[in-house]
Amino acid sequence: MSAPRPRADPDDLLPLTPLVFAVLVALVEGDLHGYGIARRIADRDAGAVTLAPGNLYAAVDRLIAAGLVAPAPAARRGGEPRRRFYRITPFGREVAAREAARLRDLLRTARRLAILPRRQP
Amino acid sequence: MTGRPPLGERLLRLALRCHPAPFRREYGREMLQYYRDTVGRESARRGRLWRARFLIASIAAAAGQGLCQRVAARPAVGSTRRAGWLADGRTDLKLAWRRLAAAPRPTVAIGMLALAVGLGVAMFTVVDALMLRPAPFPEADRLFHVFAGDERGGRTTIPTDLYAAWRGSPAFEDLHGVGHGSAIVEDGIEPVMRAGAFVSPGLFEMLGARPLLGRTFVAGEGRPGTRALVVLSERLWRSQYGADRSIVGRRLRLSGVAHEVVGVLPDGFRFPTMRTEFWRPMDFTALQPGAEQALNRPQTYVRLAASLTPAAASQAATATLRATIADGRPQFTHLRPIMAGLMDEYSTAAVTALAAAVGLVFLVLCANAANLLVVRAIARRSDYGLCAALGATRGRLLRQAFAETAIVGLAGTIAGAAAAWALVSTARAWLPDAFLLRSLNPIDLDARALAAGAIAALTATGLASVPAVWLATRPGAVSLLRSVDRGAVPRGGPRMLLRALIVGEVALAAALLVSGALLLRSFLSLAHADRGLEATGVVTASMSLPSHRFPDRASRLAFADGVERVLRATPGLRPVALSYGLPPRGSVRYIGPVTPLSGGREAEAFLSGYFVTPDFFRLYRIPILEGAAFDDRAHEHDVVITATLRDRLWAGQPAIGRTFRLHGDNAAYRVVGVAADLRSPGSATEDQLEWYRPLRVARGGDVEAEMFSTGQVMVGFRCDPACPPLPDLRRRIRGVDPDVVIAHLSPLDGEYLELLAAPRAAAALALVFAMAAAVSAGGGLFSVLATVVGRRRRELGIRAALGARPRELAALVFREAFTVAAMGLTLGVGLAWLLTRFLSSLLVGVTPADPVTWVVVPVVIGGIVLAAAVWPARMASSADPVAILRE
Repeated sequence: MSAPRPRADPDDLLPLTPLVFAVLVALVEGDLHGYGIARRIADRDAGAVTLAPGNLYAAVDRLIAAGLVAPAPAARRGGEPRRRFYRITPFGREVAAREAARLRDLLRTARRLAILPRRQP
Repeated sequence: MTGRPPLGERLLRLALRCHPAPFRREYGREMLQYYRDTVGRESARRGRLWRARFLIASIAAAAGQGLCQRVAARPAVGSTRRAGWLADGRTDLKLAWRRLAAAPRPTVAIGMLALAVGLGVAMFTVVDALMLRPAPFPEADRLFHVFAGDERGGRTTIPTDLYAAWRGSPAFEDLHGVGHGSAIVEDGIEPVMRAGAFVSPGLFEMLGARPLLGRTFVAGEGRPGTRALVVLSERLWRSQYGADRSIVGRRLRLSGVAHEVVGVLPDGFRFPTMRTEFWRPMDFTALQPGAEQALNRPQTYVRLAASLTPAAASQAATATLRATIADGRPQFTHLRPIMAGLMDEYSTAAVTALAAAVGLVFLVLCANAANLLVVRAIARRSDYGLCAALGATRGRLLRQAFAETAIVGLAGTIAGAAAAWALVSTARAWLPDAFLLRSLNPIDLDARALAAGAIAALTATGLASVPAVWLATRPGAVSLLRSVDRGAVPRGGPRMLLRALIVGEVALAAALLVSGALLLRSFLSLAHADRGLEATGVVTASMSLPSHRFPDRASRLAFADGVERVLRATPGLRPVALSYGLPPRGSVRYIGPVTPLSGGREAEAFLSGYFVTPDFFRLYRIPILEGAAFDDRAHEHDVVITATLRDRLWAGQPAIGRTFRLHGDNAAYRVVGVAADLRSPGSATEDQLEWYRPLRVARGGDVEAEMFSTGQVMVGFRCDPACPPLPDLRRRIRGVDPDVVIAHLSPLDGEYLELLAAPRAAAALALVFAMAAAVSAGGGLFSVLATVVGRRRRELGIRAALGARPRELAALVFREAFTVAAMGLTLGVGLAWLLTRFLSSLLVGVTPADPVTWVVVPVVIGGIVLAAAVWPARMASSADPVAILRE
C-alpha cells in the first residue's frame, strides 16, 4: 500500500510482535500467498489459532512498509485463482535472524534461571 | 441457493469497508480469497461452530485493524506509538465511561434505544422479505411465470403440447414446468401429508438453487421407466429424518411409492410456494397417457432470452402459441414476474400500516431516550459549567458530551441487535400461517437488515443525543452554574424542550392507541359476524388416503362409509355429514361466467363448490330458503345455490327447476334448492358464492360416490352437548384404517378464527406497539416530573413553610402533568384523525369515528398520566420545610 521506508538499523525494529516474527519465519522457506503463510504457521505451531484475514494482511502491510517483505512476481498456477505471493527481503532475513538471536539469548537466561530445564547433553 | 456468495462472505465484505480504501484496493481481494480458502479447507474438519467463530474473529479483526489504520499512524513493526489526538479521544471515552458508570446509570435510555432499534430492524426484515426484495433468485427480473389465455387472462397452467412447443421458442432462454403434487411422507418419525412438486430437471439450475447435501436432478430423470427420485427440503429432512446426513441414497416411501433421495435443498430455497417440502423429477414432454391432471397442465416458468424485452418475448411466444393451439379463439401469452411476497390486498395494507406504526413507535422511543438524556444533561450542566470555567473549549465539551451519548447509543445498538433477533424469531414462531411468512424469501436477519439496523441506530442515537448535547454545552451553561447548583427549576429552553418532547410522545401514543383500538374493534366485529351457519359445537376433519392402500374409488368409499358409521355410533355426535369441501374454504373453485339456460341473465361469479351428503345443511344449520336439500337419490347435476347467486341470475325470481351452465363445462345444472349465503367477512373467501352438489348420486339405480376420485375424505359433525376429547376421536378414525393420515381435526370455530389470522395479528401487533408507545410516554412523563420535583424541593419547602398544604403541593405536580397530557392529547387526536383515513381499508364493521374508541383512548391516556404523576406528587406533598431550609 505504501513505498518501503529507507533502511533502518535492524535492532530498531526489535522486539518483533509474535505474529510478525511468525510471518517472517514462514517466508524464509520460500514465497507464499496469504493462505500459504497461515498454513505454514499452523503447521509449525500446532496450537496456533486460525488467523483472521484482517490481522494477517495488516501484518503483511506493515512488513512491506518496513521493507522486510516484498510482493513476489505473480505466478498463476494451473486453474487456481490468481493470487499474490510474498517474499522475504534480505533485510527481513536479517531482522528475523536478530529476533531469533534475541529470543535465543532470552531462552538461555530462562535456562540459567531454571525456569526451563537445561538441555540434556 | 443463489448465485450470490454465502452470507459469511458478504458480511466480511461489509466489514472490510472499515479498512481505508488504499489498503482495501491492495489486499481486499486477497483477504476474501484467504477467507474462502480457510473456510473451504478447514470447516469440513472443524465444524460449524468453528466456522461461526472464525467469521466473527475475521469481522472483528477487520473492524479493529481498519479502525487502527484509519485513526492512527501505522504502528511500526515492533513499537506501539500512537498519534496524540487519539490519546485525547481515548481520554474523552474514558471520562464518558466513568460518568456513565456513576449513578444514575442511563439503563432506561439504553433500553429505549435498544427497543427502538430492535423494533425497527425486525419490522424492516419482515417488510423487506415480503415487499421490497425481489424473489431470491439470480437475475430475478428475467424470470417469469408464463401462461396462455384470452386478452384478460387465463389458466395459470398450460397443456403439454404448448409446453413442448415453447421449449423450442427463441423467446425463452430456459423453460421449466412445475406440477403440484402433495404426498404422504410415510417413513419419517410419523406419516405426514406434505406439499411437494414435480419439476422438470434443470429448474433448480435456472433458479440458481444449490443443494445442501447430494445433488439436484439431471436431464433424463423423470421420464417414464426411470427410477423414482426425490429431493427433500431442509425442513422436511430435519423434522422427519432428524437431519440424518446419510439420507442421500436412502429409499423412502411417498404415498406408497419408494423414492430414492438424491439431495437436500437448504431452507432458503422456496419454490413454487413457501410450503413446498419435496421435489420429484418429471419430464413433462414425455408424459404417459393417464398421468394426473396436474401433470398434464404444468405451471411454466421461464428465463427470458437475454436480448428480448418482456413485451418482445411475449409477442414471440404468442406466435408459437397460435401455431400450436388453433381452436378459433384469440390466444395471448401472459408473463407474470415471479413475486417474492404472495400477499392479498389486506395483508399488503396491514403490513404497510404496521410498518408506519413501527416508525411512530420508533420516534416515541427516541423522544423518550432524548428526554432521559436531557434530564441527565440538566443534572450534569454544573459539571460542564465547571469544566468550561476551568478553560475547556466548547469543542472539547461537545466531544465529551457526544462521547457519552455515543456510548449510550452503542450499548443501545448492541442490545437492539439482540432484541431484533428475538423479535424476528418470535415473529417466525408466532405467526406461521399469518401474513408474515408468505414469502419466497426467508425472513432472516441478513446484511440488509444489519445495514438497516446501523441506520436505525445512528438515527436513534442522533435524535436522542442532539438535544442533550446542545443543552449541556451551549454557552449559557456556564452562567447557569450557580443557579443550577441551588436547585432551581430548569426554565426557558430546557423546560420547553422537555415539555415539547413529552407532548410529542403523548400525541404519538394517542394516535397509535386510536389506530390499535380501531383494529381491535374491527377484529372483534369480524370474529362475531354472522357467518350464515352455526359453527359453535361443530368439529370438522379431513383425511388423506395413501394411494397404495386405497387404489380405487370403491376402497375410498368403503373407508368413508366406515368413518361415517364409527362417528354415528359415538354417543353425542349428531348429525354427521361427509362432504368434499368444508366450510369456510370449500373445495373446487370456479371463476367465470355463469349462464342461465332458462331466462335470467349471465353473471360473472367466484364459486366455491361443495359436494355434500343430505345431512350437510342440517349439520351446519344452513337455512334452506327455497326448495329442499338433496336426498339419497339426487341426480348428479342437481345443485343447491345460494340466495345471492339466485338474485344475480334470476333477479330474485323463484329458481327451483331452472338450469344454468358454467364456462368450459357442458353439463346443465338444475337448481333443486336455494340456501342462505355463507359469509366470512375480512377473509380472502369473502366474495365467494357457494354451490352444493350431491356427494353420492343415483346412477342407473345404484348409489355412487361421485367425488371419491381423489384421496381426500372430509367429514363434519355436531357435538351435543359437548365434544368427546379430540385424541379420542382421532383414535376412533384411525381404528377404521391405521394407514389414514388425518390432515386436520378441529372445531369449526377455530377454523373461522384461523381465517382471521391476518386481522387478528394486525390488531394484536398494533395494540402492542400502541401500548409500548403509551407506557414509554408515561415513563418519560414520570422521569420529567420526578426531575422537576427533585429540583424544586427548595421552592416546595419554602411554599410549605409559608403555609401551603400537602394537597396543594401535590396539585402543582398534577397540574403540570395534565397540562402536558392535554396538549399531547389534543395534538394526538388530530394526528389520529389523519391516520385513520389510511386505516379505513383495514376496518370492517367499525368506522374511524367509532365513539367507543374515541372515549376509551383519552381515558387510557389519562390513566397513564395519573399513574406517572402519583409518585412525584407524593414526593412533592411530603416536602419537609425544615430539612430543606437547613440544607
